[in-house]
Amino acid sequence: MSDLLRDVMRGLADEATPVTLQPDTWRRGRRSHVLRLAGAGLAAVLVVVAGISVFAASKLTSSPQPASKSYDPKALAIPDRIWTPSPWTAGTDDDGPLGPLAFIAIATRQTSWFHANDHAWFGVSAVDGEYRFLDLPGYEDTGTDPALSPDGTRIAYFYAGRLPGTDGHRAILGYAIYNSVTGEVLRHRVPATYGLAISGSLLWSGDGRYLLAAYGFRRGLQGPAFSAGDVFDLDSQQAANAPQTFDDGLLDAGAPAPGGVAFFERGVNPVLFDPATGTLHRFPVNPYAMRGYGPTIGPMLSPSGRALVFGGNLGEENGPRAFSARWGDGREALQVREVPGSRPWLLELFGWTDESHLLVEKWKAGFETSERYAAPEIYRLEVGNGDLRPAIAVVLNGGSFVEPHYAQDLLVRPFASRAAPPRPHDPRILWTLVCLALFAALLLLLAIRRRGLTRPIDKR
Amino acid sequence: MAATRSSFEEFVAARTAALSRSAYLLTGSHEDAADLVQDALFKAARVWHRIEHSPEPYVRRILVNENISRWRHRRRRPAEHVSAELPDQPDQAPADADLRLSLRQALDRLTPKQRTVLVLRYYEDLSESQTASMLGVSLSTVKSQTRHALTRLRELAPELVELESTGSLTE
Repeated sequence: MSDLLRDVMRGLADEATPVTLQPDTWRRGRRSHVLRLAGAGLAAVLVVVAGISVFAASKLTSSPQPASKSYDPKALAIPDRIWTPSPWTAGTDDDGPLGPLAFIAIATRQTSWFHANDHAWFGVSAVDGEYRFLDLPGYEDTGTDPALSPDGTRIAYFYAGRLPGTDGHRAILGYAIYNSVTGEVLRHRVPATYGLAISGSLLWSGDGRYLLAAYGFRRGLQGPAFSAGDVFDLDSQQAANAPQTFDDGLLDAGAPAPGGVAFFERGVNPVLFDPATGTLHRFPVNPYAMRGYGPTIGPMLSPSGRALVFGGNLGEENGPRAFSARWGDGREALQVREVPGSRPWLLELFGWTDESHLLVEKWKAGFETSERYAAPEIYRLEVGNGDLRPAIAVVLNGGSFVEPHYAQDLLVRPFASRAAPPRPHDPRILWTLVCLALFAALLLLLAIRRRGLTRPIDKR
Repeated sequence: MAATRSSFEEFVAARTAALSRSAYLLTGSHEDAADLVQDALFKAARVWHRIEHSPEPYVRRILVNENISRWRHRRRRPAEHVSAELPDQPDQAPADADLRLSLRQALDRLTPKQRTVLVLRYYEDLSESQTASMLGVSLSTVKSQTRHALTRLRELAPELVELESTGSLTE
């Protein structure tokens, strides 16, 4: 049968009509090839993006947990070397609260693959020097820095939200206190029809129990504001109206002090406010002389409360510098003198490290005209003789950080050596490699499949 | 790209007639054969840069697999369908044209795989192992499919048998 079958089959096959191929077969085939490749690549990318999204969502939905590290309160310290954190450093939403903080500052944070926030606050643990960005719920960059409590366990900030009764208008609704040990947030809503003005001030009392909040009420959604203020008691969690002398701008220059909060009344005269009693102590100064000093930083009282220091500009000459004043038991008129060694270009006064030394930030000698924070140095400055010694080494790591706020209680302790923070790699590089690997695997799979189809028939 | 396209066009010019014959045997229809060849060459164009050195095995593999796939999807004919009635048997020894008609009718009554196995084995002259490789099945599957196909063919077209000796009924 087989020979006959072959013959008949050939005869039958000869009845076939030769096919006329459509003229655009080649073009359609090549276009389909390109589309298939693009589709495979897109599918791989979608799978990866979906994976990342699921991963990110799982991270976002996790609730903050208290800081897990145990610590000895006596061992808390400010690091003697600080680094600019990697923009990819984890945040407190990712890894939870850090515990007591040595300082907070601003650096650039990569908030997504394609967006970076140049004004992100990070904290550094006073326990072990770990770095983490601070995810402060409702925080909005209004120009008012968050305030770190003297013991480093709380951060006060103004929070924003949707203004009730409006079409989604966003406004400053009040102030909040973030607990850096538990991760809890205590919000104090200030009743205000149109929300609060975006500029305000927050200051902690020296004992960390009271928060002074100065702010302005809006008169309309876009209108000007009038000033008001609170004294918030952390123990009772109640707010009381602040003295009339508070102004939303006045507390910009102020600092925690032994016995309360020191600030410049009407921007000029140093005063000490005791929130426990509500009393206001005015230091005996010559207001005309104080205007000449142009105070902008401080005033800061020494640990004993017997000396005061502030930063100012003396007639716009030679840049900012520090001035100190001491008084005797009789509290006679303050004798203000310039602190030697604070010139030129004092950047910041952080506070007293003991009764005769200040922690200050200056530019390097001879570095006076370039961008402000390109080369800061942090020194311990002897108030009496202007002796200047490096106190904290700054490692910029190709970036920069600004506006550090130190835990005031820790300034008087010895600084500690801490390990450099890890530098998380740019995850975009990792995911790009993963995508490429997946794409290559896909191509390999297709190649294997096609090789199976195109394998020549073994003609034995 | 131009050289690649010209090699594709050369292949089409040289092999379309042969492919058309195979496709006609596989489908039993001029229209389906034309569609099948068109599809196979379209898919070949898609990967031509990879198969340019030896396109024939790929195109034939596509031809065979695509035909079976079409049968599965269209379900024109139920699988393993056995007709209750055999075609009319000629009274006298059939002429070649009649044999071809009988064969075509008989092939139409086979399952797609049985038909494909017969075409590959008796028209393409592939060995059992080559057929197994082409279809992506085991050697024993090819053997059993061939046996069943020939048995069915003997039932459906006995005139093909009558011209041969009884002993040649099997391969």
